[in-house]
Amino acid sequence: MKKNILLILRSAPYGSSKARDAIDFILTAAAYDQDIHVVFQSDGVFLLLNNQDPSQIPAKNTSSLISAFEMYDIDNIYCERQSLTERSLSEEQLIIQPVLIEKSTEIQSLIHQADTVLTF
Amino acid sequence: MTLHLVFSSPFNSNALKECLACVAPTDGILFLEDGVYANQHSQDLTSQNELYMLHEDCIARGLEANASFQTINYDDFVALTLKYSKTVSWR
Amino acid sequence: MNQQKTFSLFISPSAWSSQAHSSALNFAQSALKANHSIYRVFFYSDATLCANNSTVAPQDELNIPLEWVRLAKEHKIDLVTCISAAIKRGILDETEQNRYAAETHNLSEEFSLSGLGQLVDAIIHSDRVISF
Repeated sequence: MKKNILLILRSAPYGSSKARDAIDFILTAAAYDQDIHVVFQSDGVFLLLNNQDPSQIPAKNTSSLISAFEMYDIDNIYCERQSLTERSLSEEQLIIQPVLIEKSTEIQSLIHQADTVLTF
Repeated sequence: MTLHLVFSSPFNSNALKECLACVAPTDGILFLEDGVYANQHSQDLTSQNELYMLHEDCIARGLEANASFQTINYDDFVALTLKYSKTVSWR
Repeated sequence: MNQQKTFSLFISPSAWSSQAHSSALNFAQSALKANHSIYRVFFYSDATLCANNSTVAPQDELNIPLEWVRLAKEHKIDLVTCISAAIKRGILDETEQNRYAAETHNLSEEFSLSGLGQLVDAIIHSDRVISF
Protein backbone atom coordinates (compact mmCIF):
# COMPACT_ATOMS: atom_id res chain seq x y z
CA MET A 1 0.00 0.00 0.00
CA LYS A 2 1.19 3.47 -0.86
CA LYS A 3 0.93 6.30 1.66
CA ASN A 4 1.60 9.99 1.21
CA ILE A 5 4.36 10.68 3.75
CA LEU A 6 5.47 14.26 4.32
CA LEU A 7 8.82 14.91 5.97
CA ILE A 8 9.56 18.35 7.37
CA LEU A 9 13.32 18.79 7.83
CA ARG A 10 13.95 21.63 10.29
CA SER A 11 17.45 20.81 11.51
CA ALA A 12 20.86 21.81 10.17
CA PRO A 13 23.37 19.07 9.28
CA TYR A 14 26.29 17.77 11.41
CA GLY A 15 25.54 19.51 14.73
CA SER A 16 22.92 16.88 15.52
CA SER A 17 21.93 13.53 14.03
CA LYS A 18 18.37 14.64 13.24
CA ALA A 19 18.90 15.38 9.55
CA ARG A 20 20.79 12.11 9.02
CA ASP A 21 18.01 10.20 10.80
CA ALA A 22 15.46 11.88 8.52
CA ILE A 23 17.43 11.12 5.35
CA ASP A 24 17.86 7.46 6.34
CA PHE A 25 14.11 7.22 6.80
CA ILE A 26 13.38 9.00 3.50
CA LEU A 27 15.62 6.59 1.57
CA THR A 28 13.99 3.59 3.26
CA ALA A 29 10.46 4.84 2.61
CA ALA A 30 11.40 5.46 -1.03
CA ALA A 31 12.72 1.90 -1.28
CA TYR A 32 9.30 0.76 -0.01
CA ASP A 33 7.74 2.72 -2.87
CA GLN A 34 5.92 5.27 -0.74
CA ASP A 35 4.76 8.68 -1.98
CA ILE A 36 7.37 10.92 -0.34
CA HIS A 37 7.24 14.68 -0.01
CA VAL A 38 10.09 16.58 1.63
CA VAL A 39 9.94 20.15 2.91
CA PHE A 40 13.06 22.01 4.01
CA GLN A 41 12.09 24.54 6.64
CA SER A 42 13.90 26.74 9.14
CA ASP A 43 17.52 25.55 9.78
CA GLY A 44 16.73 22.57 7.55
CA VAL A 45 17.46 24.79 4.53
CA PHE A 46 21.16 24.68 5.52
CA LEU A 47 21.08 21.05 4.38
CA LEU A 48 20.73 22.38 0.84
CA LEU A 49 23.69 24.78 0.92
CA ASN A 50 26.33 23.97 -1.72
CA ASN A 51 30.08 23.48 -1.12
CA GLN A 52 29.68 21.45 2.08
CA ASP A 53 32.80 19.46 3.00
CA PRO A 54 32.38 17.67 6.34
CA SER A 55 35.36 15.35 5.68
CA GLN A 56 37.42 16.92 8.46
CA ILE A 57 34.78 16.55 11.19
CA PRO A 58 34.57 13.79 9.89
CA ALA A 59 30.97 13.18 8.93
CA LYS A 60 29.10 11.84 5.94
CA ASN A 61 28.13 14.58 3.48
CA THR A 62 24.36 14.90 3.82
CA SER A 63 24.15 17.19 0.79
CA SER A 64 25.41 14.39 -1.47
CA LEU A 65 22.73 12.11 -0.03
CA ILE A 66 20.11 14.77 -0.78
CA SER A 67 21.49 15.23 -4.31
CA ALA A 68 20.85 11.51 -4.81
CA PHE A 69 17.13 11.82 -3.92
CA GLU A 70 16.31 12.16 -7.62
CA MET A 71 17.90 8.77 -8.32
CA TYR A 72 15.47 7.24 -5.83
CA ASP A 73 12.54 8.95 -7.57
CA ILE A 74 12.06 11.35 -4.67
CA ASP A 75 10.97 14.29 -6.79
CA ASN A 76 8.60 16.20 -4.54
CA ILE A 77 11.05 18.48 -2.78
CA TYR A 78 10.08 21.85 -1.41
CA CYS A 79 11.85 24.65 0.41
CA GLU A 80 10.39 27.57 2.32
CA ARG A 81 11.39 30.84 0.64
CA GLN A 82 11.14 32.75 3.90
CA SER A 83 13.51 30.35 5.69
CA LEU A 84 16.08 31.03 2.93
CA THR A 85 15.59 34.79 3.11
CA GLU A 86 15.89 34.87 6.92
CA ARG A 87 19.24 33.05 6.57
CA SER A 88 20.63 35.28 3.79
CA LEU A 89 20.57 32.40 1.31
CA SER A 90 19.61 32.57 -2.34
CA GLU A 91 18.38 29.84 -4.68
CA GLU A 92 21.71 29.90 -6.55
CA GLN A 93 23.52 28.61 -3.45
CA LEU A 94 21.49 25.42 -3.28
CA ILE A 95 22.64 21.96 -4.38
CA ILE A 96 19.25 21.11 -5.90
CA GLN A 97 16.31 23.10 -7.27
CA PRO A 98 13.44 22.55 -4.86
CA VAL A 99 9.97 23.96 -5.42
CA LEU A 100 9.97 27.20 -3.46
CA ILE A 101 7.13 27.64 -1.02
CA GLU A 102 6.09 31.27 -1.16
CA LYS A 103 2.95 31.21 0.95
CA SER A 104 2.05 29.33 4.12
CA THR A 105 -1.10 28.03 2.43
CA GLU A 106 1.14 25.91 0.18
CA ILE A 107 2.72 24.08 3.12
CA GLN A 108 -0.72 23.79 4.73
CA SER A 109 -2.03 21.97 1.67
CA LEU A 110 1.00 19.61 1.64
CA ILE A 111 0.18 18.72 5.25
CA HIS A 112 -3.49 18.40 4.34
CA GLN A 113 -2.75 15.94 1.51
CA ALA A 114 -0.38 13.80 3.58
CA ASP A 115 -1.40 10.59 5.38
CA THR A 116 1.44 10.96 7.86
CA VAL A 117 3.72 13.89 8.67
CA LEU A 118 7.07 13.47 10.43
CA THR A 119 9.26 16.38 11.49
CA PHE A 120 12.98 16.11 12.16
CA MET B 1 -7.83 19.23 9.93
CA THR B 2 -4.53 18.60 11.66
CA LEU B 3 -3.63 18.53 15.33
CA HIS B 4 -0.23 20.09 15.93
CA LEU B 5 1.66 18.94 19.02
CA VAL B 6 4.08 21.50 20.44
CA PHE B 7 6.56 19.94 22.89
CA SER B 8 9.07 22.75 23.44
CA SER B 9 9.08 26.06 25.26
CA PRO B 10 8.67 29.05 22.92
CA PHE B 11 11.33 30.81 25.00
CA ASN B 12 14.16 28.49 23.97
CA SER B 13 13.02 26.79 20.79
CA ASN B 14 11.64 27.72 17.37
CA ALA B 15 9.20 24.79 17.50
CA LEU B 16 6.14 27.01 18.02
CA LYS B 17 7.25 29.51 15.37
CA GLU B 18 7.83 26.71 12.86
CA CYS B 19 4.49 25.16 13.76
CA LEU B 20 2.65 28.46 13.29
CA ALA B 21 4.16 28.75 9.80
CA CYS B 22 2.27 25.55 8.91
CA VAL B 23 -1.03 25.92 10.75
CA ALA B 24 -4.25 26.13 8.75
CA PRO B 25 -7.27 28.00 10.18
CA THR B 26 -9.13 24.75 10.96
CA ASP B 27 -6.14 23.10 12.69
CA GLY B 28 -5.80 22.61 16.44
CA ILE B 29 -2.68 23.08 18.54
CA LEU B 30 -1.97 21.04 21.68
CA PHE B 31 0.77 22.22 24.01
CA LEU B 32 2.45 19.53 26.09
CA GLU B 33 5.70 18.89 27.97
CA ASP B 34 7.67 22.20 27.95
CA GLY B 35 5.32 23.41 25.22
CA VAL B 36 2.90 24.42 27.99
CA TYR B 37 5.13 27.43 28.73
CA ALA B 38 3.39 28.96 25.69
CA ASN B 39 0.81 29.87 28.35
CA GLN B 40 3.16 32.71 29.34
CA HIS B 41 3.73 33.72 25.69
CA SER B 42 0.23 33.78 24.24
CA GLN B 43 0.59 37.02 22.28
CA ASP B 44 1.94 34.99 19.32
CA LEU B 45 -1.12 32.80 19.07
CA THR B 46 -4.07 33.55 16.87
CA SER B 47 -7.53 33.03 18.23
CA GLN B 48 -8.77 31.32 15.04
CA ASN B 49 -7.28 27.96 16.06
CA GLU B 50 -8.49 25.66 18.80
CA LEU B 51 -5.77 25.73 21.47
CA TYR B 52 -5.31 22.97 24.02
CA MET B 53 -3.06 22.54 27.05
CA LEU B 54 -2.20 19.17 28.59
CA HIS B 55 -3.37 19.33 32.20
CA GLU B 56 -0.75 16.94 33.63
CA ASP B 57 2.11 19.00 32.17
CA CYS B 58 0.60 22.30 33.37
CA ILE B 59 0.19 21.24 36.98
CA ALA B 60 3.64 19.62 36.98
CA ARG B 61 5.10 23.03 36.14
CA GLY B 62 2.90 25.13 38.42
CA LEU B 63 1.00 26.70 35.55
CA GLU B 64 -2.66 27.44 35.26
CA ALA B 65 -3.77 27.63 31.64
CA ASN B 66 -5.24 31.01 30.74
CA ALA B 67 -8.59 31.51 29.03
CA SER B 68 -7.18 31.12 25.49
CA PHE B 69 -6.67 27.40 26.09
CA GLN B 70 -8.86 24.38 26.72
CA THR B 71 -7.29 22.17 29.35
CA ILE B 72 -7.36 18.46 28.51
CA ASN B 73 -6.05 15.23 30.02
CA TYR B 74 -4.44 12.19 28.34
CA ASP B 75 -7.81 10.53 27.65
CA ASP B 76 -8.93 13.71 25.86
CA PHE B 77 -5.58 13.82 24.05
CA VAL B 78 -6.25 10.35 22.57
CA ALA B 79 -9.78 11.37 21.54
CA LEU B 80 -8.44 14.59 20.02
CA THR B 81 -5.97 12.70 17.79
CA LEU B 82 -9.02 10.96 16.31
CA LYS B 83 -11.11 14.10 15.98
CA TYR B 84 -8.36 15.50 13.76
CA SER B 85 -7.21 13.54 10.72
CA LYS B 86 -3.50 13.51 11.64
CA THR B 87 -0.96 14.93 14.07
CA VAL B 88 2.25 16.84 13.43
CA SER B 89 4.83 16.96 16.24
CA TRP B 90 7.04 19.97 16.84
CA ARG B 91 9.81 19.29 19.35
CA MET C 1 -16.12 8.31 18.36
CA ASN C 2 -16.25 4.95 20.15
CA GLN C 3 -14.88 3.21 17.09
CA GLN C 4 -11.73 1.23 17.74
CA LYS C 5 -8.66 2.62 16.03
CA THR C 6 -5.10 1.48 15.52
CA PHE C 7 -2.24 3.65 16.70
CA SER C 8 1.50 3.45 16.28
CA LEU C 9 3.95 5.55 18.27
CA PHE C 10 7.29 6.85 17.01
CA ILE C 11 9.85 7.93 19.59
CA SER C 12 13.31 9.42 18.99
CA PRO C 13 14.58 11.16 22.17
CA SER C 14 16.38 9.36 24.98
CA ALA C 15 14.29 8.23 27.93
CA TRP C 16 16.79 9.88 30.29
CA SER C 17 17.09 13.34 28.77
CA SER C 18 13.55 13.94 27.59
CA GLN C 19 10.00 13.59 28.85
CA ALA C 20 9.06 11.92 25.55
CA HIS C 21 8.85 8.35 26.88
CA SER C 22 6.69 9.33 29.86
CA SER C 23 4.34 11.20 27.53
CA ALA C 24 4.22 8.28 25.10
CA LEU C 25 3.54 5.78 27.91
CA ASN C 26 0.72 7.94 29.28
CA PHE C 27 -0.74 8.28 25.80
CA ALA C 28 -0.48 4.52 25.19
CA GLN C 29 -2.23 3.73 28.48
CA SER C 30 -5.09 6.11 27.71
CA ALA C 31 -5.45 4.75 24.18
CA LEU C 32 -5.57 1.15 25.43
CA LYS C 33 -8.03 2.10 28.16
CA ALA C 34 -10.33 3.46 25.46
CA ASN C 35 -10.11 0.06 23.69
CA HIS C 36 -7.93 1.27 20.86
CA SER C 37 -5.02 -0.89 19.83
CA ILE C 38 -1.35 -0.12 19.45
CA TYR C 39 0.12 -1.77 16.39
CA ARG C 40 3.73 -0.87 17.07
CA VAL C 41 6.01 1.41 19.06
CA PHE C 42 9.05 2.28 16.95
CA PHE C 43 12.17 3.45 18.80
CA TYR C 44 14.63 5.49 16.75
CA SER C 45 17.84 7.37 17.48
CA ASP C 46 18.56 7.75 21.24
CA ALA C 47 15.17 6.24 22.10
CA THR C 48 16.68 2.83 21.23
CA LEU C 49 18.72 3.00 24.46
CA CYS C 50 15.70 1.93 26.45
CA ALA C 51 15.86 -1.52 24.84
CA ASN C 52 18.91 -2.23 27.02
CA ASN C 53 17.98 -4.92 29.55
CA SER C 54 20.55 -3.77 32.12
CA THR C 55 19.30 -0.30 32.99
CA VAL C 56 18.99 0.42 36.69
CA ALA C 57 16.63 3.16 37.86
CA PRO C 58 17.08 5.05 41.14
CA GLN C 59 14.58 3.71 43.69
CA ASP C 60 12.34 6.76 43.62
CA GLU C 61 12.24 7.04 39.83
CA LEU C 62 10.19 5.28 37.20
CA ASN C 63 12.11 2.61 35.29
CA ILE C 64 11.03 3.59 31.78
CA PRO C 65 12.41 0.50 29.96
CA LEU C 66 10.58 -1.69 32.47
CA GLU C 67 7.36 0.26 31.89
CA TRP C 68 7.60 -0.45 28.16
CA VAL C 69 8.22 -4.14 28.84
CA ARG C 70 5.25 -4.28 31.21
CA LEU C 71 2.96 -2.54 28.72
CA ALA C 72 4.12 -4.78 25.87
CA LYS C 73 3.57 -7.95 27.90
CA GLU C 74 0.15 -6.94 29.09
CA HIS C 75 -1.18 -5.77 25.74
CA LYS C 76 0.97 -7.71 23.26
CA ILE C 77 2.48 -4.60 21.73
CA ASP C 78 5.24 -4.85 19.15
CA LEU C 79 8.25 -2.87 20.43
CA VAL C 80 10.69 -2.37 17.56
CA THR C 81 14.09 -0.70 17.93
CA CYS C 82 15.80 0.58 14.81
CA ILE C 83 18.65 -1.87 14.27
CA SER C 84 21.19 0.58 12.88
CA ALA C 85 20.49 3.15 15.61
CA ALA C 86 20.58 0.45 18.30
CA ILE C 87 23.73 -1.45 17.40
CA LYS C 88 25.86 1.69 17.17
CA ARG C 89 24.69 2.49 20.70
CA GLY C 90 25.68 -0.96 21.91
CA ILE C 91 22.23 -2.53 22.01
CA LEU C 92 22.66 -6.03 20.54
CA ASP C 93 20.65 -9.20 20.38
CA GLU C 94 22.33 -12.58 20.17
CA THR C 95 22.44 -12.57 16.36
CA GLU C 96 24.17 -9.18 16.24
CA GLN C 97 26.50 -10.19 19.07
CA ASN C 98 27.67 -13.15 16.99
CA ARG C 99 27.81 -11.16 13.76
CA TYR C 100 30.11 -8.52 15.26
CA ALA C 101 31.85 -10.83 17.76
CA ALA C 102 30.74 -8.56 20.59
CA GLU C 103 31.22 -9.53 24.22
CA THR C 104 27.60 -9.64 25.21
CA HIS C 105 24.04 -9.17 24.11
CA ASN C 106 21.68 -6.95 26.06
CA LEU C 107 18.47 -6.48 24.10
CA SER C 108 15.49 -6.54 26.42
CA GLU C 109 13.20 -9.54 25.89
CA GLU C 110 10.13 -7.64 24.71
CA PHE C 111 12.04 -5.59 22.14
CA SER C 112 13.15 -6.60 18.67
CA LEU C 113 15.79 -5.13 16.37
CA SER C 114 14.61 -4.34 12.88
CA GLY C 115 14.97 -1.86 10.04
CA LEU C 116 13.27 1.43 9.28
CA GLY C 117 10.98 -0.54 6.99
CA GLN C 118 9.07 -1.42 10.17
CA LEU C 119 8.29 2.27 10.63
CA VAL C 120 7.03 2.46 7.04
CA ASP C 121 4.95 -0.66 7.76
CA ALA C 122 3.55 1.01 10.90
CA ILE C 123 2.57 4.07 8.86
CA ILE C 124 0.82 1.81 6.34
CA HIS C 125 -1.09 -0.22 8.96
CA SER C 126 -2.08 2.41 11.54
CA ASP C 127 -4.92 4.91 11.60
CA ARG C 128 -2.67 7.37 13.43
CA VAL C 129 1.08 7.59 13.94
CA ILE C 130 1.94 9.85 16.86
CA SER C 131 5.53 11.13 17.17
CA PHE C 132 6.91 11.83 20.62
